[in-house]
Amino acid sequence: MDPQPDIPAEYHGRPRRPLVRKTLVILLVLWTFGAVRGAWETPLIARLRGADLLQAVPAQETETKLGRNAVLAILGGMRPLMAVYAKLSAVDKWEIADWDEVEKWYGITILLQPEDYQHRIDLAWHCAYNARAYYETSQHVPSGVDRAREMEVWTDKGLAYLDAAIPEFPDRGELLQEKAQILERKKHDPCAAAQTYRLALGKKGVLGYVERFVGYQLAQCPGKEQEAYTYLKRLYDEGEKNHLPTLIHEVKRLERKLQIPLLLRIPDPEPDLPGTRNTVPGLKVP
Amino acid sequence: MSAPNHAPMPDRPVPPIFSPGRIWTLAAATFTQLVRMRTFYFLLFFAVLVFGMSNVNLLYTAEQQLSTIRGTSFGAMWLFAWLFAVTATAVVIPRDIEDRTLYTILSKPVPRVEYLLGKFFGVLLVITVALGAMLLLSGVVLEFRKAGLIAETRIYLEQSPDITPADIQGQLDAISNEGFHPRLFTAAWIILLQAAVMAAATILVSTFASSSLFTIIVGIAFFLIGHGHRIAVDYWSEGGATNNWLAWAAKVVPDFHIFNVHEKIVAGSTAAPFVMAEITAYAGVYCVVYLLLGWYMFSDKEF
Amino acid sequence: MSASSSTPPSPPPAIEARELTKVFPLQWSKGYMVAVDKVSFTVNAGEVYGLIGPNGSGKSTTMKLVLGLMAPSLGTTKVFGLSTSDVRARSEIGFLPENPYFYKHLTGAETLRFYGKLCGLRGRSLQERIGELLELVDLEHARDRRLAGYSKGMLQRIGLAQALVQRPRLVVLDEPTAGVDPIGSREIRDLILRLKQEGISVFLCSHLLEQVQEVCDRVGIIFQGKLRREGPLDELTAIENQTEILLQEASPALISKIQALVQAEGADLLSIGRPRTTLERLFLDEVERGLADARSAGAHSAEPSPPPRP
Ligand SMILES: Nc1ncnc2c1ncn2[C@@H]1O[C@H](COP(=O)(O)OP(=O)(O)O)[C@@H](O)[C@H]1O
Ligand SMILES: [Mg+2]
Repeated sequence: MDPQPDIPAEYHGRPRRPLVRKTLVILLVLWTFGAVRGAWETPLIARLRGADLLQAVPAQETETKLGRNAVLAILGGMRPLMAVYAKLSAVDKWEIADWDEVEKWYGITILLQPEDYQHRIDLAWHCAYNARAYYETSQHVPSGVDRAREMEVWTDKGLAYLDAAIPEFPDRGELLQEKAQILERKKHDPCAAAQTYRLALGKKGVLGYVERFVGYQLAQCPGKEQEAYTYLKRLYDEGEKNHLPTLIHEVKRLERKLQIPLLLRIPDPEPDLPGTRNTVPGLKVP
Repeated sequence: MSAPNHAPMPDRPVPPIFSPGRIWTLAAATFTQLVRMRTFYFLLFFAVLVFGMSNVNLLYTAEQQLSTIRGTSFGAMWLFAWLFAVTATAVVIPRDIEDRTLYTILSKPVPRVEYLLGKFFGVLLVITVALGAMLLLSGVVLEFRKAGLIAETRIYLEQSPDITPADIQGQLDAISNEGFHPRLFTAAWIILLQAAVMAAATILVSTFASSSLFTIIVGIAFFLIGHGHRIAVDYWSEGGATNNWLAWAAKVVPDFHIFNVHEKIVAGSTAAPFVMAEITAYAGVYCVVYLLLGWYMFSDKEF
Repeated sequence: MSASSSTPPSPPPAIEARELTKVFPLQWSKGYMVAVDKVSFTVNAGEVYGLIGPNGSGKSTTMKLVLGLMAPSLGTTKVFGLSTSDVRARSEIGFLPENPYFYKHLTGAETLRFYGKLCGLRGRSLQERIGELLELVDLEHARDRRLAGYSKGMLQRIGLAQALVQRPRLVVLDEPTAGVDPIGSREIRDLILRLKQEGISVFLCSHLLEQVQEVCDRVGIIFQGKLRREGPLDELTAIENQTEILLQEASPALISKIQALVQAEGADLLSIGRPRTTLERLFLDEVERGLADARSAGAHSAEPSPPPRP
């Protein structure tokens, strides 16, 4: 019973302030509940992570891990909204070609949604294409800036972001595909591009054309002509569906270069089809 | 002694100790009470947000546009649900006390636990209806936008002679997968479960509190702690045994980490029915514990 | 079986309060206040009982103790022989709190439906009951209007109807006419009298004595938490060492004869007119006596609010 020291004895009756006692009981029950539910909670969390239903935090340095985890935990379901805000801010900075700011806002977006690999691709794309193009062509670049050097710096940044992201998403092919594209188009390194496209094959999000891209890049790689020919010829032989203008063009070029006997060569393409370079579907360059 | 003196009136049936009908009556009254407070104006804000997002065209791929619409609408639903659960629950009981409506209700044959349950289910009813409306709205917007994006992408891809029809189909399928999908119902359900736990927790807080503002602040703090403390405990427990007391004390606070499952579902994962059932049971246990404690506190509260 | 079983048992009293006591600890100091101090009283079945006392004297607290909205610090209270924590007891009680507000967005009929459902009424019987009650409290014209647009008097009446919805055998009314204009309070008083005719016990409290006087069979005077006087209205207001002779058509000659006789017998003729004290007078006497007691004893640490000006 709660003491009632200030009240004359004639009024002593039921405990007058059960609040303290009840609060203690409630804390005790909550604690017990916390202790007991752990036995359910911990394996459940492990199972949910296994089923890709909860964010499993990739191994990183403790500082980043804590920073990310805290954001993940505290913002909870708000993160998509905040991420959209950060991303729109990045787009805003892109319009005024403030590349450091674009980088910063994408950094925040990624901090908010580390599990969304698309943000990593966006960031790399901004660096390697947009920032690079700016230093290549814009009249607003101050004189005295070494345009060529900046172009290389930003391209390399794009590649570095992808290299950092690829181990975090070992099953996603899009990141490798993006990297291969930068190697192909901006670094003009068909050998590395071919190798990277090849790594992407069979991973999630990789569509059929990537298989052909491996061959196209191999075909450009000095010293790999024979390998490229075998690769592309195999695709050609798979059937009508692969008889695409670029593929035919490349095979014919390699046939001439490797001096393949006429009898083994593929038939001539219809003359009115242009030999196009590959295009990347799904990529909407604004 | 003379029993007849103590018998209730013969023509009056003894009221049931526990009656779902009474709880429903109280819940329905709470529902209309909240609706009258113009809570559904939030839906207008939501509609503006979702339509706005669907027209923002600054993003990268079609898939990404759709996943952004999904992410923002579910983010808004999530925010609405738990915040509404806290604020509405915190407001509804003190208002009854202030208006003395509580006296008239409790002087009827209504057990106090039924009053609490009526408020709890009334708040949940509003959240359920609101979430349903938001889900419908975002579904419509998603499908509408998806149709537009598929048409655009098809035209764009068909211009390129180097792309096989199979590739085009693959691309369109990828876009299609990002539209509305029945799994989004399960995400909304988990958002509702978390709101239910928060409403139950707020009922517990409000049986202590004397003001709505205090209840709201404590409720929000409760939520943030429920989402944040796991990280703190993990972080400090890496440091060794020195901070074990923290993990020990943290058992008092809830762990809402499991309710983050909705994010992955919105992003594309699917939860098996038994997983959903387990999470539902998990939330149910939380609700029962908090409501029982709230009842314990409320049972002899004086007004 | 005993012989007494042949006589029908007398019905249990509507309210039986024994030594009811409520002690409130003071919020910011170590003191306490005794809001209700060992109050015992009985409200018999079918009786209208009025509790009168100035503001802050413990009337509302007594009612909450009777209704079980508060637990007494000491003492017990029974309603029709049942403890008030018993749901059966609560279905026998209708309560109209002081200055009630109901859900403003509901109409009169919806309000009654809500409370009726809480009491387990459903369907046609509920519908009929709502009609009856609206007729009883004369609010049929306002049936479908929202309470937000009701006047104070109408709110008190819908509150009374709400209290009656499950046909309780006891209604507890806290200041039923407070803030209501004279016509409105007249209507409420008439309603209370109708309830009495129907055999419903009424326990009401007021600081407006005149109204209590008109409707109550018995009154209790409460001041500073103590029940000072209690009893049937006639007894309380009668002056014991005085006698009233009421004559009709008395000629002046008869009156002078009586005067002479009185003088001859050695008694005093005090007045010719209305010799009764009013409840108001009695009430103020009690308040003054209570204040004198308090001054001499210095008992309670808390200051009571002053009595109302006459
Ligand atoms: N919940 C409470 N806590 C502390 N004091 C209270 C409480 N309720 C009433 N009181 C005090 O008890 C006394 C009696 O109040 P009340 O019964 O409302 O008086 P009445 O209805 O006669 O005006 C008042 O002085 C009031 O301040
Ligand atoms: Mg009062």
